[in-house]
Amino acid sequence: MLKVNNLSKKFGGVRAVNDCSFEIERDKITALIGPNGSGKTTIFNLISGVIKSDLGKIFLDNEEITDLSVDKISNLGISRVFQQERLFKNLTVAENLLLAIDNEDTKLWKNIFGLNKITREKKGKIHKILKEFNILEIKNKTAKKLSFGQKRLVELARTVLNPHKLLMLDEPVAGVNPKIKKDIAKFLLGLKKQKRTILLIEHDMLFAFSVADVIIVMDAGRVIAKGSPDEIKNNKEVLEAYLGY
Amino acid sequence: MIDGYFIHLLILIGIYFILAASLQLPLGYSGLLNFGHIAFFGIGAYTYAILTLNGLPPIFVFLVAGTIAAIFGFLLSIPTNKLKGDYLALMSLGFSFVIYAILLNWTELTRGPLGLPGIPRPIIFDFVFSGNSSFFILVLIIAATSYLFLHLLTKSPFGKALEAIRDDELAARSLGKNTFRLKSVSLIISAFMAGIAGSLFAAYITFIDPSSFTFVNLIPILLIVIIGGIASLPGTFFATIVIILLPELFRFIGLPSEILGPVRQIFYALALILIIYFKPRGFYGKIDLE
Repeated sequence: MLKVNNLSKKFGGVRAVNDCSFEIERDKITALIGPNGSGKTTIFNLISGVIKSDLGKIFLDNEEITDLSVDKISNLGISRVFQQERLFKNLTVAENLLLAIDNEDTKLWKNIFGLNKITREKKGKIHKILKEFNILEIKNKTAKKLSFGQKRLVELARTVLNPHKLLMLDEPVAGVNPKIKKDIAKFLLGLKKQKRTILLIEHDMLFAFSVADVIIVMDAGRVIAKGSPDEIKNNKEVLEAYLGY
Repeated sequence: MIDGYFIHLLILIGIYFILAASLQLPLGYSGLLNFGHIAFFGIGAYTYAILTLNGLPPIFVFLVAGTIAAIFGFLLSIPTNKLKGDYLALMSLGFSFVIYAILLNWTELTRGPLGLPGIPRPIIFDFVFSGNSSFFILVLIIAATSYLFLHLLTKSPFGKALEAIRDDELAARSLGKNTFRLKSVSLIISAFMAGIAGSLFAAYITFIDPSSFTFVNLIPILLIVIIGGIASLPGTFFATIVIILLPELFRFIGLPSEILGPVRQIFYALALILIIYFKPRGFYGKIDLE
Protein backbone atom coordinates (compact mmCIF):
# COMPACT_ATOMS: atom_id res chain seq x y z
CA MET A 1 0.00 0.00 0.00
CA LEU A 2 2.76 2.45 0.96
CA LYS A 3 6.13 2.15 -0.73
CA VAL A 4 9.22 4.06 0.34
CA ASN A 5 12.04 3.84 -2.23
CA ASN A 6 15.62 4.91 -1.50
CA LEU A 7 14.57 7.84 0.65
CA SER A 8 17.31 10.13 1.99
CA LYS A 9 17.28 13.24 4.15
CA LYS A 10 20.19 15.22 5.58
CA PHE A 11 20.03 17.93 8.26
CA GLY A 12 23.31 19.83 7.93
CA GLY A 13 25.97 17.16 8.32
CA VAL A 14 23.63 14.60 9.86
CA ARG A 15 22.16 11.95 7.55
CA ALA A 16 18.83 11.35 9.34
CA VAL A 17 17.46 9.01 6.66
CA ASN A 18 19.91 7.18 4.46
CA ASP A 19 18.76 5.36 1.32
CA CYS A 20 15.80 3.92 3.20
CA SER A 21 13.34 1.55 1.50
CA PHE A 22 10.40 -0.44 2.81
CA GLU A 23 6.82 -1.33 2.06
CA ILE A 24 3.72 -1.25 4.26
CA GLU A 25 1.20 -3.99 3.69
CA ARG A 26 -2.51 -3.32 3.54
CA ASP A 27 -4.77 -4.36 6.46
CA LYS A 28 -1.86 -4.82 8.86
CA ILE A 29 -0.35 -2.96 11.78
CA THR A 30 3.31 -2.26 11.09
CA ALA A 31 5.53 -0.97 13.88
CA LEU A 32 8.59 1.11 13.05
CA ILE A 33 11.09 0.68 15.85
CA GLY A 34 14.70 1.62 16.42
CA PRO A 35 17.03 3.40 18.84
CA ASN A 36 16.76 7.17 19.42
CA GLY A 37 17.97 9.10 16.37
CA SER A 38 17.50 6.18 14.01
CA GLY A 39 15.29 8.32 11.72
CA LYS A 40 11.78 7.05 12.53
CA THR A 41 10.13 10.44 13.06
CA THR A 42 12.01 11.88 10.05
CA ILE A 43 10.50 9.07 7.96
CA PHE A 44 7.04 10.01 9.30
CA ASN A 45 7.65 13.67 8.48
CA LEU A 46 8.77 12.77 4.95
CA ILE A 47 5.78 10.51 4.30
CA SER A 48 3.27 13.08 5.60
CA GLY A 49 4.90 15.97 3.71
CA VAL A 50 6.04 17.96 6.76
CA ILE A 51 9.59 18.00 5.37
CA LYS A 52 10.89 17.55 1.83
CA SER A 53 13.17 14.69 0.88
CA ASP A 54 16.66 15.04 -0.63
CA LEU A 55 16.37 11.84 -2.65
CA GLY A 56 13.98 8.95 -3.15
CA LYS A 57 10.29 8.45 -3.79
CA ILE A 58 7.16 7.64 -1.78
CA PHE A 59 4.08 5.96 -3.27
CA LEU A 60 0.60 5.51 -1.79
CA ASP A 61 -1.41 2.93 -3.74
CA ASN A 62 1.01 3.36 -6.66
CA GLU A 63 0.42 7.13 -6.74
CA GLU A 64 3.56 9.16 -6.09
CA ILE A 65 3.16 11.43 -3.07
CA THR A 66 6.80 12.51 -2.65
CA ASP A 67 7.03 16.13 -1.47
CA LEU A 68 3.31 16.88 -1.89
CA SER A 69 1.89 19.35 0.64
CA VAL A 70 0.68 18.10 4.03
CA ASP A 71 -2.99 18.84 3.24
CA LYS A 72 -2.85 17.09 -0.15
CA ILE A 73 -1.26 14.00 1.42
CA SER A 74 -3.94 14.02 4.11
CA ASN A 75 -6.66 14.26 1.47
CA LEU A 76 -5.09 11.33 -0.40
CA GLY A 77 -5.65 9.21 2.70
CA ILE A 78 -2.83 9.49 5.22
CA SER A 79 -3.91 10.53 8.71
CA ARG A 80 -1.29 11.13 11.37
CA VAL A 81 -0.81 11.52 15.13
CA PHE A 82 2.25 13.63 15.96
CA GLN A 83 4.78 12.86 18.69
CA GLN A 84 3.98 16.16 20.44
CA GLU A 85 0.41 17.03 21.29
CA ARG A 86 -1.15 19.15 18.53
CA LEU A 87 -4.78 19.76 19.53
CA PHE A 88 -6.50 23.05 18.72
CA LYS A 89 -6.23 24.20 22.30
CA ASN A 90 -8.86 26.95 22.29
CA LEU A 91 -11.51 24.76 20.68
CA THR A 92 -13.64 22.17 22.47
CA VAL A 93 -13.08 18.45 22.07
CA ALA A 94 -16.19 18.19 19.85
CA GLU A 95 -14.94 21.09 17.67
CA ASN A 96 -11.52 19.42 17.36
CA LEU A 97 -13.18 16.22 16.19
CA LEU A 98 -15.61 17.99 13.86
CA LEU A 99 -12.68 19.53 12.00
CA ALA A 100 -11.54 16.02 11.10
CA ILE A 101 -14.84 14.97 9.51
CA ASP A 102 -16.03 18.26 8.00
CA ASN A 103 -14.76 18.60 4.44
CA GLU A 104 -17.05 21.56 3.69
CA ASP A 105 -15.68 23.91 6.34
CA THR A 106 -13.38 25.72 3.92
CA LYS A 107 -16.28 26.79 1.68
CA LEU A 108 -17.02 30.39 2.62
CA TRP A 109 -20.52 31.03 1.25
CA LYS A 110 -21.87 27.64 2.21
CA ASN A 111 -20.85 28.36 5.79
CA ILE A 112 -22.10 31.96 5.91
CA PHE A 113 -25.53 30.94 4.66
CA GLY A 114 -25.66 28.08 7.16
CA LEU A 115 -25.70 25.40 4.44
CA ASN A 116 -22.83 23.46 6.01
CA LYS A 117 -24.81 21.97 8.85
CA ILE A 118 -23.46 19.97 11.77
CA THR A 119 -25.64 17.03 10.83
CA ARG A 120 -26.87 14.23 13.08
CA GLU A 121 -24.48 11.92 11.20
CA LYS A 122 -21.46 14.09 12.08
CA LYS A 123 -22.61 14.39 15.70
CA GLY A 124 -23.14 10.62 15.79
CA LYS A 125 -19.57 9.93 14.62
CA ILE A 126 -18.18 12.21 17.32
CA HIS A 127 -20.39 10.65 20.00
CA LYS A 128 -19.41 7.13 18.94
CA ILE A 129 -15.67 7.64 19.02
CA LEU A 130 -15.76 9.52 22.35
CA LYS A 131 -17.78 6.65 23.79
CA GLU A 132 -15.27 4.12 22.45
CA PHE A 133 -12.50 5.97 24.27
CA ASN A 134 -14.63 6.44 27.40
CA ILE A 135 -14.25 10.20 27.29
CA LEU A 136 -17.78 11.29 26.46
CA GLU A 137 -17.87 13.56 29.50
CA ILE A 138 -15.12 15.85 28.12
CA LYS A 139 -16.95 16.49 24.82
CA ASN A 140 -17.56 20.18 25.53
CA LYS A 141 -14.34 20.86 27.41
CA THR A 142 -11.76 23.20 25.87
CA ALA A 143 -8.74 21.17 24.74
CA LYS A 144 -6.25 23.21 26.77
CA LYS A 145 -8.05 22.17 29.98
CA LEU A 146 -7.55 18.42 29.39
CA SER A 147 -5.01 16.21 31.12
CA PHE A 148 -2.07 14.88 29.06
CA GLY A 149 -3.66 11.45 28.72
CA GLN A 150 -7.03 12.89 27.67
CA LYS A 151 -5.29 15.06 25.06
CA ARG A 152 -3.58 11.98 23.66
CA LEU A 153 -6.90 10.13 23.40
CA VAL A 154 -8.64 13.06 21.71
CA GLU A 155 -5.78 13.39 19.25
CA LEU A 156 -5.95 9.71 18.44
CA ALA A 157 -9.74 9.97 18.02
CA ARG A 158 -9.32 12.99 15.72
CA THR A 159 -6.76 11.15 13.58
CA VAL A 160 -9.01 8.11 13.29
CA LEU A 161 -12.00 10.28 12.29
CA ASN A 162 -9.97 12.02 9.58
CA PRO A 163 -10.86 10.00 6.43
CA HIS A 164 -7.88 7.77 5.67
CA LYS A 165 -6.45 4.65 4.06
CA LEU A 166 -3.37 4.66 6.28
CA LEU A 167 -3.10 5.70 9.93
CA MET A 168 0.32 6.87 11.11
CA LEU A 169 0.79 7.02 14.87
CA ASP A 170 3.97 8.50 16.32
CA GLU A 171 4.39 7.10 19.83
CA PRO A 172 0.70 7.15 20.75
CA VAL A 173 1.27 5.78 24.27
CA ALA A 174 4.37 7.79 25.22
CA GLY A 175 3.92 9.39 28.64
CA VAL A 176 0.37 8.17 29.27
CA ASN A 177 -0.67 6.26 32.40
CA PRO A 178 -1.08 2.45 32.31
CA LYS A 179 -4.89 2.68 32.19
CA ILE A 180 -4.87 4.90 29.08
CA LYS A 181 -2.12 2.78 27.54
CA LYS A 182 -4.39 -0.25 27.97
CA ASP A 183 -7.33 1.64 26.43
CA ILE A 184 -5.22 2.66 23.42
CA ALA A 185 -3.92 -0.92 22.98
CA LYS A 186 -7.52 -2.20 23.10
CA PHE A 187 -8.58 0.38 20.54
CA LEU A 188 -5.69 -0.50 18.19
CA LEU A 189 -6.49 -4.19 18.46
CA GLY A 190 -10.08 -3.29 17.58
CA LEU A 191 -8.82 -1.49 14.47
CA LYS A 192 -6.68 -4.54 13.66
CA LYS A 193 -9.80 -6.70 13.68
CA GLN A 194 -11.41 -4.25 11.28
CA LYS A 195 -8.40 -4.77 8.94
CA ARG A 196 -7.21 -1.18 9.09
CA THR A 197 -3.72 -0.30 7.85
CA ILE A 198 -1.60 1.32 10.54
CA LEU A 199 2.02 2.44 10.68
CA LEU A 200 3.19 2.93 14.24
CA ILE A 201 6.34 4.32 15.83
CA GLU A 202 6.79 2.97 19.33
CA HIS A 203 9.55 2.93 21.92
CA ASP A 204 7.64 0.66 24.26
CA MET A 205 8.71 -2.71 22.84
CA LEU A 206 6.14 -4.74 24.75
CA PHE A 207 3.40 -2.52 23.40
CA ALA A 208 4.75 -2.61 19.83
CA PHE A 209 5.19 -6.38 19.83
CA SER A 210 1.73 -6.93 21.32
CA VAL A 211 -0.20 -4.98 18.66
CA ALA A 212 1.92 -5.19 15.48
CA ASP A 213 1.75 -7.81 12.73
CA VAL A 214 4.98 -6.64 11.13
CA ILE A 215 8.00 -4.94 12.69
CA ILE A 216 10.43 -2.77 10.74
CA VAL A 217 13.66 -1.98 12.58
CA MET A 218 15.65 1.14 11.71
CA ASP A 219 19.17 2.11 12.69
CA ALA A 220 21.26 5.07 11.48
CA GLY A 221 18.60 6.14 8.98
CA ARG A 222 18.08 2.80 7.22
CA VAL A 223 16.07 -0.38 7.61
CA ILE A 224 18.11 -3.17 9.19
CA ALA A 225 15.37 -5.78 9.62
CA LYS A 226 11.76 -6.51 8.79
CA GLY A 227 9.62 -9.41 9.95
CA SER A 228 7.05 -10.74 12.36
CA PRO A 229 7.49 -9.88 16.06
CA ASP A 230 8.91 -13.37 16.73
CA GLU A 231 11.43 -13.10 13.90
CA ILE A 232 12.57 -9.67 15.07
CA LYS A 233 12.98 -10.76 18.70
CA ASN A 234 15.65 -13.24 17.64
CA ASN A 235 17.35 -11.14 14.95
CA LYS A 236 21.08 -10.71 15.68
CA GLU A 237 21.44 -7.37 13.89
CA VAL A 238 18.51 -5.95 15.87
CA LEU A 239 19.96 -7.10 19.20
CA GLU A 240 23.26 -5.51 18.24
CA ALA A 241 21.63 -2.19 17.32
CA TYR A 242 19.66 -2.10 20.58
CA LEU A 243 21.97 -3.71 23.08
CA GLY A 244 25.38 -3.42 21.41
CA TYR A 245 26.18 -7.15 21.28
CA MET B 1 -24.42 71.45 19.87
CA ILE B 2 -24.13 68.53 22.32
CA ASP B 3 -26.33 66.43 20.02
CA GLY B 4 -24.00 67.17 17.10
CA TYR B 5 -20.93 66.26 19.14
CA PHE B 6 -22.63 63.07 20.36
CA ILE B 7 -23.54 62.02 16.80
CA HIS B 8 -19.97 62.78 15.70
CA LEU B 9 -18.69 60.36 18.38
CA LEU B 10 -21.24 57.71 17.38
CA ILE B 11 -20.10 57.95 13.75
CA LEU B 12 -16.46 57.52 14.80
CA ILE B 13 -17.44 54.54 16.98
CA GLY B 14 -19.19 52.96 13.99
CA ILE B 15 -16.27 53.47 11.60
CA TYR B 16 -13.65 52.33 14.10
CA PHE B 17 -15.76 49.32 15.05
CA ILE B 18 -15.83 48.16 11.40
CA LEU B 19 -12.06 48.70 11.21
CA ALA B 20 -11.27 46.87 14.47
CA ALA B 21 -13.77 44.04 13.95
CA SER B 22 -12.34 43.40 10.49
CA LEU B 23 -8.86 43.15 12.04
CA GLN B 24 -10.21 40.46 14.38
CA LEU B 25 -10.65 38.09 11.45
CA PRO B 26 -6.96 37.70 10.51
CA LEU B 27 -5.51 38.56 13.93
CA GLY B 28 -7.97 37.05 16.40
CA TYR B 29 -9.32 34.13 14.40
CA SER B 30 -6.57 33.17 11.92
CA GLY B 31 -3.62 34.18 14.11
CA LEU B 32 -2.06 36.43 11.47
CA LEU B 33 -0.30 39.37 13.10
CA ASN B 34 -1.23 41.86 10.41
CA PHE B 35 0.19 45.36 10.88
CA GLY B 36 -0.83 46.28 7.34
CA HIS B 37 -4.48 46.79 8.27
CA ILE B 38 -4.20 50.57 8.41
CA ALA B 39 -3.01 50.51 4.78
CA PHE B 40 -6.30 48.86 3.69
CA PHE B 41 -8.15 51.64 5.54
CA GLY B 42 -6.06 54.20 3.61
CA ILE B 43 -6.56 52.44 0.27
CA GLY B 44 -10.34 52.48 0.83
CA ALA B 45 -10.33 56.15 1.84
CA TYR B 46 -8.22 57.28 -1.13
CA THR B 47 -10.15 55.13 -3.62
CA TYR B 48 -13.41 56.68 -2.43
CA ALA B 49 -11.96 60.21 -2.48
CA ILE B 50 -10.31 59.98 -5.90
CA LEU B 51 -13.25 58.30 -7.63
CA THR B 52 -15.99 60.48 -6.14
CA LEU B 53 -13.98 63.65 -6.83
CA ASN B 54 -13.88 62.45 -10.43
CA GLY B 55 -17.64 62.15 -10.54
CA LEU B 56 -18.28 58.45 -9.97
CA PRO B 57 -21.44 57.60 -8.01
CA PRO B 58 -20.60 57.06 -4.29
CA ILE B 59 -22.67 53.88 -3.82
CA PHE B 60 -20.69 52.19 -6.58
CA VAL B 61 -17.45 53.68 -5.25
CA PHE B 62 -17.97 52.11 -1.78
CA LEU B 63 -17.86 48.67 -3.38
CA VAL B 64 -14.91 49.55 -5.64
CA ALA B 65 -12.97 50.88 -2.62
CA GLY B 66 -13.61 47.66 -0.70
CA THR B 67 -12.69 45.56 -3.72
CA ILE B 68 -9.40 47.37 -4.36
CA ALA B 69 -8.46 47.03 -0.68
CA ALA B 70 -9.42 43.32 -0.96
CA ILE B 71 -7.09 42.89 -3.95
CA PHE B 72 -4.25 44.30 -1.83
CA GLY B 73 -5.39 41.94 0.94
CA PHE B 74 -4.95 39.02 -1.44
CA LEU B 75 -1.48 40.26 -2.45
CA LEU B 76 -0.51 40.54 1.22
CA SER B 77 -1.78 37.00 1.79
CA ILE B 78 0.63 35.43 -0.73
CA PRO B 79 3.68 35.52 1.58
CA THR B 80 1.59 34.11 4.46
CA ASN B 81 2.08 30.72 2.82
CA LYS B 82 5.66 30.87 4.09
CA LEU B 83 5.71 33.57 6.77
CA LYS B 84 4.08 33.66 10.16
CA GLY B 85 4.43 35.31 13.56
CA ASP B 86 7.08 38.01 13.86
CA TYR B 87 8.14 37.70 10.21
CA LEU B 88 4.61 38.26 8.96
CA ALA B 89 4.21 41.21 11.35
CA LEU B 90 7.38 42.83 9.99
CA MET B 91 6.40 42.17 6.39
CA SER B 92 2.89 43.59 6.86
CA LEU B 93 4.42 46.61 8.63
CA GLY B 94 6.64 47.10 5.57
CA PHE B 95 3.53 46.87 3.38
CA SER B 96 1.84 49.68 5.36
CA PHE B 97 4.97 51.85 4.95
CA VAL B 98 4.97 51.23 1.20
CA ILE B 99 1.31 52.27 0.91
CA TYR B 100 1.98 55.36 3.06
CA ALA B 101 4.95 56.27 0.84
CA ILE B 102 2.77 55.92 -2.27
CA LEU B 103 0.02 58.11 -0.78
CA LEU B 104 2.62 60.70 0.18
CA ASN B 105 4.66 60.74 -3.02
CA TRP B 106 2.27 60.01 -5.90
CA THR B 107 1.27 63.65 -5.87
CA GLU B 108 -0.45 63.63 -9.30
CA LEU B 109 -3.00 61.20 -7.90
CA THR B 110 -3.14 61.95 -4.17
CA ARG B 111 -1.80 65.54 -3.93
CA GLY B 112 0.68 64.11 -1.42
CA PRO B 113 0.86 65.91 1.94
CA LEU B 114 -1.65 68.52 0.77
CA GLY B 115 -4.34 65.87 0.91
CA LEU B 116 -7.67 65.70 -0.90
CA PRO B 117 -10.30 68.22 0.21
CA GLY B 118 -13.97 68.47 -0.72
CA ILE B 119 -14.73 64.77 -0.79
CA PRO B 120 -18.45 64.36 -1.51
CA ARG B 121 -20.81 62.76 0.95
CA PRO B 122 -22.50 59.58 -0.28
CA ILE B 123 -25.63 59.69 -2.41
CA ILE B 124 -27.78 56.57 -2.47
CA PHE B 125 -30.87 56.52 -4.71
CA ASP B 126 -30.83 60.35 -4.93
CA PHE B 127 -30.65 60.68 -1.14
CA VAL B 128 -27.64 62.73 -0.07
CA PHE B 129 -26.21 61.80 3.33
CA SER B 130 -25.18 65.39 3.92
CA GLY B 131 -26.30 65.72 7.55
CA ASN B 132 -24.49 63.89 10.33
CA SER B 133 -27.67 62.23 11.57
CA SER B 134 -28.37 60.60 8.22
CA PHE B 135 -24.68 59.72 7.84
CA PHE B 136 -24.81 58.06 11.24
CA ILE B 137 -27.74 55.89 10.04
CA LEU B 138 -25.61 54.79 7.07
CA VAL B 139 -22.64 53.98 9.33
CA LEU B 140 -24.93 52.15 11.75
CA ILE B 141 -26.38 49.98 8.95
CA ILE B 142 -22.91 49.10 7.60
CA ALA B 143 -21.49 48.46 11.10
CA ALA B 144 -24.45 46.24 12.06
CA THR B 145 -24.18 44.33 8.77
CA SER B 146 -20.44 43.88 9.36
CA TYR B 147 -21.09 42.57 12.87
CA LEU B 148 -23.73 40.13 11.67
CA PHE B 149 -21.54 38.93 8.79
CA LEU B 150 -18.53 38.38 11.05
CA HIS B 151 -20.70 36.72 13.69
CA LEU B 152 -22.13 34.23 11.18
CA LEU B 153 -18.71 33.61 9.68
CA THR B 154 -16.83 33.07 12.92
CA LYS B 155 -19.49 30.86 14.51
CA SER B 156 -19.69 28.64 11.43
CA PRO B 157 -17.38 25.65 10.78
CA PHE B 158 -15.41 28.02 8.49
CA GLY B 159 -14.63 30.18 11.54
CA LYS B 160 -13.59 27.08 13.49
CA ALA B 161 -11.23 26.14 10.64
CA LEU B 162 -9.67 29.62 10.92
CA GLU B 163 -9.30 29.14 14.68
CA ALA B 164 -7.66 25.79 14.04
CA ILE B 165 -5.01 27.57 11.94
CA ARG B 166 -4.45 30.06 14.74
CA ASP B 167 -3.98 27.28 17.31
CA ASP B 168 -1.88 24.90 15.21
CA GLU B 169 -1.48 25.36 11.48
CA LEU B 170 0.39 22.09 10.89
CA ALA B 171 -2.33 20.10 12.66
CA ALA B 172 -4.97 21.86 10.52
CA ARG B 173 -3.05 21.00 7.36
CA SER B 174 -2.68 17.40 8.49
CA LEU B 175 -6.50 17.25 8.63
CA GLY B 176 -6.51 18.19 4.94
CA LYS B 177 -7.30 21.88 5.33
CA ASN B 178 -5.87 24.16 2.65
CA THR B 179 -4.66 26.69 5.19
CA PHE B 180 -3.20 29.06 2.61
CA ARG B 181 -6.63 29.43 1.01
CA LEU B 182 -8.30 29.95 4.38
CA LYS B 183 -5.75 32.58 5.44
CA SER B 184 -6.10 34.36 2.09
CA VAL B 185 -9.90 34.47 2.40
CA SER B 186 -9.66 35.89 5.93
CA LEU B 187 -7.23 38.61 4.78
CA ILE B 188 -9.33 39.43 1.70
CA ILE B 189 -12.56 39.81 3.73
CA SER B 190 -10.73 41.82 6.39
CA ALA B 191 -9.19 44.16 3.79
CA PHE B 192 -12.56 44.60 2.04
CA MET B 193 -14.21 45.68 5.29
CA ALA B 194 -11.29 47.97 6.20
CA GLY B 195 -11.62 49.51 2.72
CA ILE B 196 -15.33 50.18 3.34
CA ALA B 197 -14.44 51.72 6.74
CA GLY B 198 -11.87 53.91 4.95
CA SER B 199 -14.52 55.05 2.43
CA LEU B 200 -16.88 56.00 5.26
CA PHE B 201 -14.05 57.86 6.98
CA ALA B 202 -13.20 59.84 3.81
CA ALA B 203 -16.88 60.56 3.13
CA TYR B 204 -17.43 61.73 6.71
CA ILE B 205 -14.33 63.89 7.25
CA THR B 206 -14.47 65.12 3.60
CA PHE B 207 -10.71 65.69 3.70
CA ILE B 208 -7.95 63.09 3.85
CA ASP B 209 -4.18 63.22 3.82
CA PRO B 210 -1.56 60.45 4.30
CA SER B 211 -0.99 61.28 8.00
CA SER B 212 -4.28 59.53 8.89
CA PHE B 213 -2.96 56.19 7.62
CA THR B 214 0.37 55.72 9.38
CA PHE B 215 1.34 52.96 11.81
CA VAL B 216 0.59 55.34 14.71
CA ASN B 217 -3.04 55.28 13.63
CA LEU B 218 -3.08 51.50 13.89
CA ILE B 219 -2.29 51.62 17.64
CA PRO B 220 -5.83 52.54 18.77
CA ILE B 221 -7.20 49.79 16.49
CA LEU B 222 -4.85 47.20 18.00
CA LEU B 223 -5.79 48.53 21.42
CA ILE B 224 -9.49 47.98 20.70
CA VAL B 225 -8.82 44.39 19.58
CA ILE B 226 -6.68 43.60 22.62
CA ILE B 227 -8.83 45.36 25.23
CA GLY B 228 -11.97 43.72 23.85
CA GLY B 229 -10.23 40.36 23.71
CA ILE B 230 -8.74 38.32 20.90
CA ALA B 231 -11.49 36.66 18.84
CA SER B 232 -14.32 38.45 20.66
CA LEU B 233 -16.74 40.52 18.59
CA PRO B 234 -18.84 41.79 21.55
CA GLY B 235 -15.56 42.71 23.26
CA THR B 236 -14.47 44.63 20.15
CA PHE B 237 -17.75 46.55 20.20
CA PHE B 238 -17.48 47.60 23.85
CA ALA B 239 -13.76 48.35 23.55
CA THR B 240 -14.43 50.63 20.55
CA ILE B 241 -16.84 52.67 22.65
CA VAL B 242 -14.30 52.93 25.49
CA ILE B 243 -11.34 53.79 23.26
CA ILE B 244 -13.24 56.44 21.32
CA LEU B 245 -14.91 58.02 24.36
CA LEU B 246 -12.18 57.88 27.00
CA PRO B 247 -9.67 60.24 25.32
CA GLU B 248 -12.53 62.72 24.81
CA LEU B 249 -12.23 63.44 28.55
CA PHE B 250 -8.98 65.26 27.78
CA ARG B 251 -11.05 67.91 25.99
CA PHE B 252 -12.86 68.72 29.23
CA ILE B 253 -9.82 69.10 31.49
CA GLY B 254 -8.65 72.22 29.73
CA LEU B 255 -5.64 70.86 27.79
CA PRO B 256 -4.44 73.24 25.07
CA SER B 257 -5.53 72.03 21.64
CA GLU B 258 -1.92 71.76 20.35
CA ILE B 259 -1.04 69.08 22.90
CA LEU B 260 -4.39 67.27 22.81
CA GLY B 261 -3.32 65.10 19.84
CA PRO B 262 0.06 63.99 21.31
CA VAL B 263 -1.57 63.33 24.73
CA ARG B 264 -4.11 61.09 23.03
CA GLN B 265 -1.32 59.15 21.24
CA ILE B 266 0.54 58.73 24.54
CA PHE B 267 -2.68 57.55 26.19
CA TYR B 268 -3.21 54.92 23.47
CA ALA B 269 0.39 53.67 23.62
CA LEU B 270 0.42 53.52 27.44
CA ALA B 271 -2.93 51.77 27.54
CA LEU B 272 -1.65 49.17 25.04
CA ILE B 273 1.43 48.47 27.18
CA LEU B 274 -0.60 48.22 30.39
CA ILE B 275 -3.31 45.99 28.97
CA ILE B 276 -0.79 43.58 27.41
CA TYR B 277 1.08 43.42 30.72
CA PHE B 278 -1.82 43.15 33.18
CA LYS B 279 -4.71 41.73 31.18
CA PRO B 280 -3.40 40.05 28.03
CA ARG B 281 -6.73 38.36 27.35
CA GLY B 282 -8.56 41.69 27.38
CA PHE B 283 -11.97 41.95 29.00
CA TYR B 284 -13.94 39.50 26.89
CA GLY B 285 -11.25 37.30 25.38
CA LYS B 286 -10.66 33.63 26.06
CA ILE B 287 -7.56 33.35 23.92
CA ASP B 288 -4.05 33.94 25.23
CA LEU B 289 -1.81 36.34 23.34
CA GLU B 290 1.37 34.57 22.25
